[in-house]
Amino acid sequence: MNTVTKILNKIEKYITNITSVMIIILTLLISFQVFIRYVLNTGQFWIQELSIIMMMWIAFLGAAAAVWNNCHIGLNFIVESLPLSLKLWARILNDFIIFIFSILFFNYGLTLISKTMGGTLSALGFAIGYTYTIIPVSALLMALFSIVKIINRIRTFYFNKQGGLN
Amino acid sequence: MSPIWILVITFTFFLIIGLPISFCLAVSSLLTAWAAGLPPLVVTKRIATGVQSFPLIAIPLFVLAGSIMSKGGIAKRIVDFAYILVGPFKGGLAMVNCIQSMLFGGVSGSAIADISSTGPIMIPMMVEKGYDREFSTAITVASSTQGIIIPPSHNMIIFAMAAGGVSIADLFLAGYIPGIMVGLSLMITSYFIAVKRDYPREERPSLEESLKIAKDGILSIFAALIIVGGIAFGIFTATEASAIAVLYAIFLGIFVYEEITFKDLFPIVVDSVKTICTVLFLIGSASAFGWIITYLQVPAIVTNFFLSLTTNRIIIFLLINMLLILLGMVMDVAPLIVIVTPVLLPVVQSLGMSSITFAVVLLLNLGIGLTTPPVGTGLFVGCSVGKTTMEETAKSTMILWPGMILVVLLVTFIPSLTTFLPSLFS
Repeated sequence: MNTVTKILNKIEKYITNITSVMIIILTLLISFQVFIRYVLNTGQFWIQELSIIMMMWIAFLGAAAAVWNNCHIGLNFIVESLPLSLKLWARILNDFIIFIFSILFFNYGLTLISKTMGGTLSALGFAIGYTYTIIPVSALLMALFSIVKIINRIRTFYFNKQGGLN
Repeated sequence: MSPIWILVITFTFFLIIGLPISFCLAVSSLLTAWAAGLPPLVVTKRIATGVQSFPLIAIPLFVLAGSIMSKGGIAKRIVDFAYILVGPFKGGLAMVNCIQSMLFGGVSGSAIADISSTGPIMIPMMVEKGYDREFSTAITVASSTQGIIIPPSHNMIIFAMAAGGVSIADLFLAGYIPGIMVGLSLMITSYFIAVKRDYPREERPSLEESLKIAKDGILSIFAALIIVGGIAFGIFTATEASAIAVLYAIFLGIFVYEEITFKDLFPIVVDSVKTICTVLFLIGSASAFGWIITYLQVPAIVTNFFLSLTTNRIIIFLLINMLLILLGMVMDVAPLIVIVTPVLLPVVQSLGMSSITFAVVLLLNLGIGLTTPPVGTGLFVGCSVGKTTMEETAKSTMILWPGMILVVLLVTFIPSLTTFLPSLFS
């Protein structure tokens, strides 16, 4: 199980690095857009299209990573005031809800892809469906992260094993 | 059971058990869609289209610009600049803290970035000069809330997303006067405290030194001119301005102030990604939630509820302000903006408040919420920077609230404080 945790830690790190690179590219793309508008006097619609798609990828990949490293903001002070074992089960319930949601999100994501495969992006020229592939991918990651978190919580609490309870 | 109750009950339940707010919004929208017989695929589609918006790109880039500015020495230059401006007054360092937050808010827009970058400079400096530690932390936290109101503020963009169809340029300009009013209210309060507790004046640095500090400071403040000026005069969009803000911050940090190198940039980006992604997903799920709320005509129900209490708009506005402060005490700024805006904006609009005035009122209230226990993020960061406890600091922060609440009331009832500047540019 510790190996699984280590692998997921690595995956999370990769995702964060990928999203960081995308944010850097986004900065450069948009600055480039200002440059070509004022210096070359032309507009490039593909820049807008590409940056909007990247934005969605950043949001979903980042949301998945944030499930693993607990960055999502929640109302914690009520749960924090509970006794230890209740707190644990509240956390497990949260992870479980995220897990169920991810499975549904995965499913709807696939439907969304198949429904939008017919349309083409006007400037970039490929099927809109491809841009939504990020939904099932990040949903799968979220599901994986949340289920391993549940296992780790139980192991740490009841069997006193080191599994990175966070 | 009617779908509205399913929405309210599931959302409240998820919130109480501590489910992250973005998931509370998404899952309760999904359940409500089922209950109302709507295709649940629409919820997924809404989450996806919610983050596919060009103006939204300004949020990650402004957050990134803010982190680069705080690490690249801009924050420090602004502290020095504020020092030569107001240091020599009675209780000078407290005022320096306020002015510095005003100026840093004018280039960065994040209260937390302000506290974590200038707190470690300001708080020890104040403690060394005889200010008590709790007051030093309290004024650092309270003054940082100017950052979410004074443009550029990524929270204003979150509001524009949640409200739909509000000009970001107008929202930005609307924030200047109220933001500066918050700063003035804090400076006036700190002056009285300084007189009472006999806090010192600071010596003015030599003219030569002052000139050098002013030159460095003005280079930093120039960012505000590029960003907000560029947007207000229609030279570029908020999104383009945010990219330019990132480049300018890198340029100052690496080439002018030489505080960071290219090698330091990637870790800064990685660090801000954590804030960025949670906010983006939150906006996505909030857009599904907002759609469900509108579909179920919740705003009309809430409006009728308020009107059934009283038809006096002054009382309704006061009630809404109280509600917002209470909510701000238990929840963070960004989640509250996305939850509260679709519900309350139609209410205040039907009573004649414009959306830009409401945006500022909302952010002022949520700003006060940042400084209160139990969930004030600002207070929390401030206390870890200032090495004090939340309880002790909260007592000192309370002295600062009357002034801040007065500003909220003035802005609520005098619309021209928010609408004057936008009207100049339209």
